[in-house]
Amino acid sequence: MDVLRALQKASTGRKPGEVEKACQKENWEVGQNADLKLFATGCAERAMDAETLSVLSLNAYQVDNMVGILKALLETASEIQHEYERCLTPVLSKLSKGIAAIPDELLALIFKHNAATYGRKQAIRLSHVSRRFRGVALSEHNLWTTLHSGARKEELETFALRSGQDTGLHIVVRNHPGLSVPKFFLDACLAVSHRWKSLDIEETSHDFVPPEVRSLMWDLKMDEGSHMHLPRLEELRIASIQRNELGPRLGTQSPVHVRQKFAWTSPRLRKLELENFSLFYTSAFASLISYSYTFELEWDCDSRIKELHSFLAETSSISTLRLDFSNFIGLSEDEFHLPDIHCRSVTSLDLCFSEYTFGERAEEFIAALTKALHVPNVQELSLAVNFRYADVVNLNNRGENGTEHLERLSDSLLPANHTRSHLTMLTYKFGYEVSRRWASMKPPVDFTGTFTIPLDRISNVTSLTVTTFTGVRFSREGSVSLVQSHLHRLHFRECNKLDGRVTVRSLKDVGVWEQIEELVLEDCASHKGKMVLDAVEKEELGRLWDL
Amino acid sequence: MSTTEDKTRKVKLVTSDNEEFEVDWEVATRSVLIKHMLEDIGESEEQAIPLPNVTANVLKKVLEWCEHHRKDPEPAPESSDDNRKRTLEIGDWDAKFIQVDQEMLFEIILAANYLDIKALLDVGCKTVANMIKGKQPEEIRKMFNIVNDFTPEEEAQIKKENEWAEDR
Repeated sequence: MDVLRALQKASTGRKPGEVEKACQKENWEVGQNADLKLFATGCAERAMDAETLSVLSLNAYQVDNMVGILKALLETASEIQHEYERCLTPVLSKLSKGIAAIPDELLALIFKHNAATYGRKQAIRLSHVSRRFRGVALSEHNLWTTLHSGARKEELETFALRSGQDTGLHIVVRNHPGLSVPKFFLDACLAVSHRWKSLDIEETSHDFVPPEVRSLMWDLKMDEGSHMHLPRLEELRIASIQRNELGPRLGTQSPVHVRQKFAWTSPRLRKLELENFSLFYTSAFASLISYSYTFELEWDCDSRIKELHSFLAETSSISTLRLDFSNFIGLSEDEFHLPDIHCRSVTSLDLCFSEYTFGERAEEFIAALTKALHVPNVQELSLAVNFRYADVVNLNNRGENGTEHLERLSDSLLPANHTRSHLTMLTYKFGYEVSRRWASMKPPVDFTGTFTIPLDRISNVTSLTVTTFTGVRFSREGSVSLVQSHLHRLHFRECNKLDGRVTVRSLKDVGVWEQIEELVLEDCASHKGKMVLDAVEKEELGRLWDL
Repeated sequence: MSTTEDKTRKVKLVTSDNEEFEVDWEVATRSVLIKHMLEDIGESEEQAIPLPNVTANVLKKVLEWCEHHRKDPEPAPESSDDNRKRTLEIGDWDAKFIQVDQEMLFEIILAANYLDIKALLDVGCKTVANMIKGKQPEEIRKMFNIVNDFTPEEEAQIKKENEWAEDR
């Protein structure tokens, strides 16, 4: 067995040239006999003596044995080799056969990706391609879990059947003009309420007509009077979209805001998203970890904030909070009296301001909000501002420099003396959306203005990502020794107005440039592709930016 | 957890067509299969890892991806019963990387599956999913050279399904 072990060891740890070396006769002890060479070639003049004959015979016997062993081993090895070939050839031959070579489980994975992104109709189309596709699609319950209020009765029945007995279901309710919610849909959903995994209700209301969410909820037995048990519900989204005859609601009109109290038990409800819709806190939300609240600003925005305040005050489990305010043009002229909101459990905060207008009212609102919002344990903060395109164009046309506006905005976004000792990751995302009204004209925007990032207010931030159409500079109040910045990683993404010299000089002025370990410039107009400090070195970057 | 020694270590890989590749440990171990095989054979640096299901031209592509993603964090395990959170977004670099002909695309998917590289498998599957987005069954058949092999009874059932499926 030693010989077998040696052979197996040699086959796995073979060094280059080792076999070639072993094949040379001179390297074999039995091949080194001088008499063998002499007598085998017939050159020997003398007769073979008894001693030589004895040694050669012994060597010949040894060689015979070696050949015997090798032949036997070769026979067995060849047999095993053939067995392996028989086993592997069918598998290997499947390579290079395109989609036919893809095993069913991978085909199912492709189908899942496809159906998840492109909706429930994809599952049906895939099941109509071939017998194999149909077999895979029908056996994959997850492709058939969306019950949509716009579906026909037959579709609902088919989906319910193909989703299996126990798979979680996603209920999608769309109540738009001309597309009301049929009774058979509500009945079908109620019959499987124990399987609801997510519920997504979206409706459009016209002008000042109150939304029907309340009656929808009543139909779905989720109103205050019904004590429904939803053991698997994990996500709930309710959106009330306001429109008038001409399209989206005009900024100066007040939206119809709805606040409801629902009673149901949902021990696994983790994620809640509300748009122009408020909820009273009940025990249904006891296990929430993610809350997103979107609303259009109006004359009565203090009330909305108070509703938000009362909801957040009751919860202690939310770690991810997203607040999205839009329609700044609709802000009232009154002073803002926002109550202090304390969210100790929040570790990730996403503040988004859409349709933002340059002006004192907008700045005052953001300042009032950020001062009122206390998130002492926040670790990740995202600040996104989506400016009104008309404002950006008008400011530009008036020849005004936007820096002053941006400085006040910066001050409002990160108020001084706010405790954020755990904040390590910060993201700024500034942009503007071209509305349909402007899209055809598309006046060129050459915005001049620089946004200032106050490093003394975010001293524990180690990683900063910035996306903006403005210039960027850094500032620090107080002495460097008093407020030590921990910034090490800087990522500029789509910063087309980034002036590298201004940015880096400001970093040098505040004494932070030397400690930057990672600087990434991604899709910034003046820098091709992705430039990473690791690759170009600080000196090279300095040369590129003419520092 | 990888050690500093691991990071400097080289790994030999042998393809089905007997080509040998020598790559950094950090690159090779993007593949869970190779990682486990390396754990099994221990410290032996000489021993090459045979990859009988992967040809040299495919492994070259796979290693290009592994090299680019060598420092990526380990992917988080995802819930198997929910596909709603999936998105078909593919990063810019990955999108360029996967611009290959159909044969190579499916070979990359098979190799990623065999080598157990989940993120690469996702890129491949998302790419195919993107290719068939919004396509009608006939278009999908044409794209992948698939034969319509339904029986007349099945065709009748499909026709019935189409009556309620495609109108809204």
